[in-house]
Amino acid sequence: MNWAGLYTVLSGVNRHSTAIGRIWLSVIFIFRIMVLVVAAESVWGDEKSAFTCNTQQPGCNSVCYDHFFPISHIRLWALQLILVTTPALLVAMHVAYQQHQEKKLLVLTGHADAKHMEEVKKHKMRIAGSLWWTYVCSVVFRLLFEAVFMYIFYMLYPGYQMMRLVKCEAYPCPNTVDCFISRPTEKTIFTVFMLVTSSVCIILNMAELVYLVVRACARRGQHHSNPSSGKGSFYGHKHSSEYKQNEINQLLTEQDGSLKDMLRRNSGLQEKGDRCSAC
Amino acid sequence: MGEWSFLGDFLEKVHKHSTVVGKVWLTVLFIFRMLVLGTAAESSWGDEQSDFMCDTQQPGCENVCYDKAFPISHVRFWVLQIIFVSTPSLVYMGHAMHTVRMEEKRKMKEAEIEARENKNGGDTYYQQKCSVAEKETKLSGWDEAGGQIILRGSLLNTYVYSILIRTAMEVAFIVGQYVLYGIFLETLYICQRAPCPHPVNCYVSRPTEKNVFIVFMLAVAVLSLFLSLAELYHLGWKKAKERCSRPYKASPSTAPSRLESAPQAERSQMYTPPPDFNQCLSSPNGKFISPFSNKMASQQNTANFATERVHGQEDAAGEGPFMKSSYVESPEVTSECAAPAFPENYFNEKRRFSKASRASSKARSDDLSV
Repeated sequence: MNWAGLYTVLSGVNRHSTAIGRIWLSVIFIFRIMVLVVAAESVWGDEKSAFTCNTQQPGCNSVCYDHFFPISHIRLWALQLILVTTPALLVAMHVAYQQHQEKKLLVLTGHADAKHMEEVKKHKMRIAGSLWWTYVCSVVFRLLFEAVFMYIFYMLYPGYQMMRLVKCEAYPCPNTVDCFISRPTEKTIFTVFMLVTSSVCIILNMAELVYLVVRACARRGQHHSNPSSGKGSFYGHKHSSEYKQNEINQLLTEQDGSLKDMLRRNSGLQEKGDRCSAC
Repeated sequence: MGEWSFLGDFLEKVHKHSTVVGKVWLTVLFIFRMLVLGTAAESSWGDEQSDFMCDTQQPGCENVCYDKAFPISHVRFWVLQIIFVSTPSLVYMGHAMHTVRMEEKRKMKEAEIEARENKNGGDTYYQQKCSVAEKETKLSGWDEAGGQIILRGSLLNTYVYSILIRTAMEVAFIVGQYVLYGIFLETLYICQRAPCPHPVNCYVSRPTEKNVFIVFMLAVAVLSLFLSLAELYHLGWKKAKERCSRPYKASPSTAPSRLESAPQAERSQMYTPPPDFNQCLSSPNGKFISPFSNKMASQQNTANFATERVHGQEDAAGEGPFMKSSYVESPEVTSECAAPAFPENYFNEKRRFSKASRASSKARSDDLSV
C-alpha cells in the first residue's frame, strides 16, 4: 500500500487547512497510518496460518476462520483511512480551481509575469466563500466516514475485543469445535489503540467544524456592521470588487500619471475593506 | 525504515529548531532506536510465534501459551514507545510554528499599514506587497540568518513541558517493560492455561539474540532519559539565571547614556563586578552560553562581554541590567566570582586574551538561541 503517495498529495492540502486540520492530518499519519504499517500489520500477519481448530476435519479450519473474520481488521482500517482522508482532496481541487481563476485574472489585467504567477501559487487561500462550503463538506464527510466505520467495527467485532477461544459449528465441522485465535491480547491492545485515535480524530473534526462555523458567523457580524465595504469582503478576498478596483486603478495609473488623486481616493476604500475582511 | 518516514519527516523539522542536547537526543532516536528497530530487531522477532514450540499435541495450546507469555511483542512495544516519546516534540513544534505564524501575521499587518502611509503615487499594488513581504522577513521573531526560533516566554515553557512529558513517557515505558517481561527472556516458559491439559514446557525462539536486542534497546532508552534530564537541567539553570538577573533591572533607560559618559569618567577606577555576577549573566545577543560554569569559562565570558560593550551592543533589553551592574563598583567581591579586575586601559583593547579562549563558549550557528 503506497501510503507515501497519499502523504504527498495530502501535504499540499495541509497549507490551506486550518490549524486544527493540520493537527488532524498529523494524528492520522503518525498515530494511525504509521502504527498500522509498522506495528499492526505484523500482528495480524499470521492470523490465518496460526488460526487453529481442535479438529482433523479438512476444510473446517478455513470455514471457521471465514465465519469469524469476514474482513480482517487490517483491511478495514486501511479502507477507513483511505475514505477518511480523501475528502481533503475536494478542498485541494477547489483551491487549484481558485488559483487557476486568479492566474486568468492576472493574464487579463496584464500582470502575467513569473513573479506574480509564483505569488499566486504560494500564497495561502483564505477559507471564505465557496471554499468555506467545500471545506465544511469535506469535514462533514470525514466525520460521517469515521462514525460509519466505528459502527461497522462494533457490529463485526462486538466489544472491540479479540476472543481467545471461539466455538465454531459451520459445515463441514462435524460438531462444535474449539478454535483458537493467535495473539488475541496484542490484537485487543491495537484495536483499542486504533479506536482511541479514531475517537480523537472525530473530536478534532467536530472542533474544526465548530471553529469554521463560529469564524464565519463572526465574519458575517463584521460584514453587517460595515455595510459600505460591500459583499466582496465576505465572498473571498481575491475576487472582491475592491480587488478588481485596485487592478483597474493600476492600469489607469500606468497609462496616465494625472490620475493619482483617483488612486488616493481608492486607497481609502481599500483600507476600509481590509479592516472588515481581516480575520 | 521507509515506513518510519512519516514520523521522520516531522522530526526533521524539530531537529532544526532544537537545542544542542535536543539534537543529540533526536539523533539517538533516529539511529539507535528507529533504524535498529526497523532493520535488525524486526527480523529477529520475525518468527516469534511460528517457532514458539510447546511440548504438547493439544490443538490451540501453543496459541494460548504464546498469548500468555507475550501479551504484546517487544517490537510493537518499542514502536509504541518511540511514537509516544516523540509526540511531545511534535506538540512543541506545532506551538512554535503557530507562534511564528501569528507574529509574522501581526508584523505583516503593521508593515502594511506603514507601507500604505508612506506610499507614493508611483508604487503599484504588487510592488507594495513585495516590499511588505520583504519587511515581514526582517521584522519577524524568527532569526532569518540561522533560520532558528528564539526560545522565550510561553514557547520556552512549552519546550520545558514537552521535555518533562517525554521524560515521564520514557520512564513509564521502561518500567512497563520491566513489569511485563523483567529484563531477560528465559528460554523455557512453563504454561498452564486452558485448553492445555497440564503445565506444558514451551520454548521461545532465539532467546539469546532477543536478549541482546532487549539490553541494547533498554540501554538506549536509559541514555535518552539521561539526555532529557540533561536538557532539563540546562533549561532550568538558564531560567534561574534569568530570574537572578531581573533584580538588576533598576533603570535601563539611563544605561545607554551612562555608557557614553562612563569610559571617560571612570577609566581610572578599578572595576569589580558584584558578587554573583557570573551566575546572573543574561545573554545580550541571545547566544547559548554553556551552563558548565567553571572559572575559566566565566572569566572568558566576562572578558567577552567587556570587549563587546566597547564595540557597542544593539540589543539593549537584555543588556540593561548587565551594563548598569558592571559600572557600579562593588566592595563585596567573593572568591567564587573570580572575575578579573579591569585594568585602566581595558577599553582600548580589542580583545582580551583569556585562558579559556581555546574552549569557546560561543554558540554554533545551528543552535537554538535561548
